Amino acid sequence: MNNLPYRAILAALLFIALPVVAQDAGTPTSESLADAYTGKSYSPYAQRNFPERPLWGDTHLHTSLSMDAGLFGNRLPPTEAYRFARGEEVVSSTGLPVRLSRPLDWLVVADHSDGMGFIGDIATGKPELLAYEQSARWIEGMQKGGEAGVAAALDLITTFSNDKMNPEMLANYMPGSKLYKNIWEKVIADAETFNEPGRFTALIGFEWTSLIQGNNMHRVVIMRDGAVRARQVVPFTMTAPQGSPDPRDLWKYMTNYENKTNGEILAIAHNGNLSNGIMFPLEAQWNGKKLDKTYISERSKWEPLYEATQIKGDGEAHPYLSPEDEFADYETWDIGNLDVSAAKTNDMLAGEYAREALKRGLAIEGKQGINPYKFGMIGSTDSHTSLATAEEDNFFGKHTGYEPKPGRLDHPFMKNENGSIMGWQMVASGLAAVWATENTREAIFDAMQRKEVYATTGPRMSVRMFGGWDFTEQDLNSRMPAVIGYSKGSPMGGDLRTMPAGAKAPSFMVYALRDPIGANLDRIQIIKGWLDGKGNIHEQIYDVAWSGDRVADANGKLPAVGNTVDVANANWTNSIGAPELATVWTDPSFDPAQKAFYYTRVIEIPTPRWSTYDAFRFGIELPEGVPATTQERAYSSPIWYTPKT
Amino acid sequence: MRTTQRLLREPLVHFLGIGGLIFLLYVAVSDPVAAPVNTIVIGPEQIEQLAKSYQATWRRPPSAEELDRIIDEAVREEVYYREALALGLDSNDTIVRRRLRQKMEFLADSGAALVEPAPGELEAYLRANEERFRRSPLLAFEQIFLGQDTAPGRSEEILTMLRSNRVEDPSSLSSSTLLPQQLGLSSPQTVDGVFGQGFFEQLFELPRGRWAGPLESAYGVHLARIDERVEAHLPALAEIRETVLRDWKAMKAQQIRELYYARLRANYVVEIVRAQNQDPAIQ
Repeated sequence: MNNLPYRAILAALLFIALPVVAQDAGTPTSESLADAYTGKSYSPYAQRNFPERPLWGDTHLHTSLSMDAGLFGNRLPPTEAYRFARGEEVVSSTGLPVRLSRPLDWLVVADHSDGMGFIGDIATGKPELLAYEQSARWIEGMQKGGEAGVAAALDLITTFSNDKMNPEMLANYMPGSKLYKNIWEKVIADAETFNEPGRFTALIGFEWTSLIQGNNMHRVVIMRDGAVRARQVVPFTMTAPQGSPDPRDLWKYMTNYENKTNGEILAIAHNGNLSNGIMFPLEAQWNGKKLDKTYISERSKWEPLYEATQIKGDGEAHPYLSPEDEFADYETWDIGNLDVSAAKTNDMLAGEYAREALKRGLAIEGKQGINPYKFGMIGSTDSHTSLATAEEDNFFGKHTGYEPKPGRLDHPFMKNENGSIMGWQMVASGLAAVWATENTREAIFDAMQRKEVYATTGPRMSVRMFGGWDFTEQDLNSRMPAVIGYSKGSPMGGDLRTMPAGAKAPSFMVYALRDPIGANLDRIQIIKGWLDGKGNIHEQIYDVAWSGDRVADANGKLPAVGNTVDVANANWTNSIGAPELATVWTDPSFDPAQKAFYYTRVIEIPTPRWSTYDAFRFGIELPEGVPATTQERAYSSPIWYTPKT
Repeated sequence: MRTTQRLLREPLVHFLGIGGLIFLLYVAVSDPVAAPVNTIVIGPEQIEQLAKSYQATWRRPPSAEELDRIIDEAVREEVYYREALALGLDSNDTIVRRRLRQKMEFLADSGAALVEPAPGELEAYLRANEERFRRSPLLAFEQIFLGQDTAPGRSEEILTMLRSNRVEDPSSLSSSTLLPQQLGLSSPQTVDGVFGQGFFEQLFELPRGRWAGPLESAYGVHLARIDERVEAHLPALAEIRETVLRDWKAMKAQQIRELYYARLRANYVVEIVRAQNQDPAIQ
C-alpha cells in the first residue's frame, strides 16, 4: 500500500534502539539523525507512495434500474451513467444533451436493491411480466404510448406508493429469482466494461434502502472486488423475507460477503436529515432496543464513512444544534422525514447531523469503550438521472422530473400537510474526494476504509489536513508539505499519534487550493468537538486561515469576504478571496484528558446558486425566498485524539 | 354514420367479429360428448419444476392442495396455449412477436459467444481500429510557480538562472504554492484536472530536460521542465489483449447477428406494396 506503517515502525525501532546506540557510538544528535532519515531520495519519483492528488467521484448514483428513478422516467442504464462520468456527452432522459465540465475519476452506480430492474422491464415489455395482471396492464399502456403511456405510468406510481404491488410479480425483482440474478450480473458486467485501472474506476455497489415508517436509514454498499467475488452474492434488500430494514441484518450480510468471497465491503449511511432522529442514536436503536456492544462495534466496523452532503440537503451541521456557527444553516432540509409523512421536531435533530454524530460518538465511546460514529466524510449526488451533476451551472436535478426546464424551481418537490419542499430547494451537491495512491478499485476502497477522504458540495478544491504534535510554518513552506505531513503526522481520517512527553497541544497543517475552474476561497476553519470530564459534549469553530487582510472583531467574528455575484447575469469574478489558503494551527485550549476530534471546513467565496443560473437561462424571476448565491464548501474527515489510558 | 364506418375499419372489431364467428362455428360443429382427441401429460419433472418455482416465490414448498391447484393452472395454461395457437392468436400480437424475435436473436448471440479469433486476427483488428485503442500522451514534469502575474522580464530572468545550473533547488525560486511541484507520468486529464484546462497542451510543446516557459495555468504563471514524455501511441497487442478481445467479440456478435438475419432473410421475397400517392416518408 505505502510505506507509512513501515516508517512508523522504523521510527519506533529507532526510538527503542537509542540507548543501545548511545552506549558505544556516542549520542546521536538530531542533526546526524536528520541526515540519515530525511526521507529524501535522489530520484524525485521514489517517494510517490502517498497520494498526489485527490481522485474525484460519486458514491451514490441511481440509473434507470432503480425503481423510483425508472418511475420518474429515467431511461438511461448504467452504461450511459459511466459514459457520462467519464466525460462523454450523452442525451438525458428528457432529451437534453449533457456533459460534465471535466470527467470524474471514479463512480459507484448504487441502484436501489429492492425491485432493481423492474421498471426498465415494464418499459421494454419483458414477456415474463405478462403473467401478472398489473404489469401486463402497464406494459400495454407503455406500448401504446402517448396518453395511455402517461396513464400507465401514473397508475404504476399510485399502485407503488399505496403499496399495492402484486408481491408475486415483484418477487421476480428480489433476491432468489433468476431475473434478479440476471440483472445483478448485468450490473457487474457493465462495471467491468467501464473499469479501466489507472484511468477510470467503476466500483461495484448498490443501495440498501431501509425505510422505517418514512424515516430514512439508507446505506450505500460498496465492494472492493471485481466480478468474480461480486457474482457470488446478490444485493441485500429491505423487504422480508430475504431482506430486512434492520442495519444489523445488513451487517450480517456484509460479514457473510467477506467470509464467503474473501473480499471486502463497506457501507455509507446518508440523509440522516430525513431520518427523524434515528440515524445516529445515542441510547436506543430505531426499534427502541438499547444500543448494545454488538451494534456499536459492528457499526464502527462496517460504516467508516458518512455522506455529509447531497441533493436532498446538506447534513454537516444544523443551526439549532450549532447556534454559534454562522455557516451551519446551509441548504437545510428539516421539515420532516423522507416522504414527509412525519414532521420534524427539534429533539430529533441531534440524531441526524454529522457533526453532532461525531460528538455523540465520543460520548458513547466514553461509556462503552467503542466509538460507533468514528466516520470520515464524503459528499455524493444521490442523483436519480444517471447523471452525476453537482455543479451549480450544470445541475440536472434529483430525478428526471426535475431536469432543466423553466418550471422546475417553483414546482413542489414534495408536499403534504406537514409542509413542502420546493424544486428550488434541491441542492447541487456533492462530490467525494479520495486521497488514493492510484486510480484503482483497491486503492480507492482502501482510502475510503482509512477515511482519507473529504466531501465537497460540488467544486473540486484540494484540501489537505495533517495532525501531529510539532508542525511548524516551515513545514508548510517546504518543497512538498505532504511529505512532511505524512512523516510527522496523520492525514485526515486518522488518529493523532500518542502525545509525546513535553508536547502541549496538537498542531494541524491544513491547506486548500481552489478548484482550477472554480471560485476563490473565503476561509479555512477547524471544527473541534470534545467530551468533557462530566460526559458532556461540546464544539468550537475556529477560523484559521482567510483571504485578504480581514481582522476579527471583538467577539472573534471575521468580516464576510464580500460578494461579486452579478445575479441578473449569473456571473461572478475571482477578484476577492484567495486561490490558496494554508496554515499551521495549534489548539489553544487543549486538555490532554479529553477525547476530541478536529475536522476542516473550507468555504468558497459566494457564487451564483444553480437556481440563479436557471433564472438567467430561462429568463424567469427567481421565486421568492430563493437565495441568489451560495458559498460552497468542503468538509474533511476528522482526525481524532484519544487520551492514553 | 361516420362512426359506424370507422368502427368497421377497426382491427379490434374485426378481431371480435371473427373470433365470435369461430366460436359460434365451434359450438355448432363440436359434439360436447365426444371423447377428447388431444392429450396433455403433466409428468413428474414438470410437477417438480412447478413446485420449485412456487418455492422460489414464496420461500416454502407448496402444500398438497396448493400443488394440485398449480397443476390445474398448468393444465389450464396448456389448453389455452394450444387453442390460442390453433386459432392463430399469436400471429398478430406485438409482445409475442417481440419475444420470439428476441429468442431468435439470443440464438444468434449464443453462437457468437463461442467464436474465438483466429491467429493474427486480433492484431489485424487492432491495426484496423488504431484510433479506438490509442493511448493518450503522458508527461512527467517539474514546475515552479511565479504568482498570479509577473513583472515584465521576470520570468525570463528566472529562466536564465535556472538554465545556468547554478540553482540547487529550483523550488526556492517558486512562489509558495500548494500545487504539486512535480508530477510523475500523467495523462492530459490528470494534468488539466490539477492545473486547469489547456495546461497539458502547453507543456507538451516544451523540450525535454530543459527549463522553459512561461506557461499559464488556472492559477497564474509557471516555468516547467519536462523530465519524461511518452507520445500518444498504440500499445502492443499483448499489453491490451483483454480490451481488444472484448471489443472484437462485441463486433463479431453484431456481425454474426447480421449474417444470421441475412441468411434467413434470403429465404423470403418481400413485396412492399404502397398505396398510390402514399408518401414513403410516413411508412
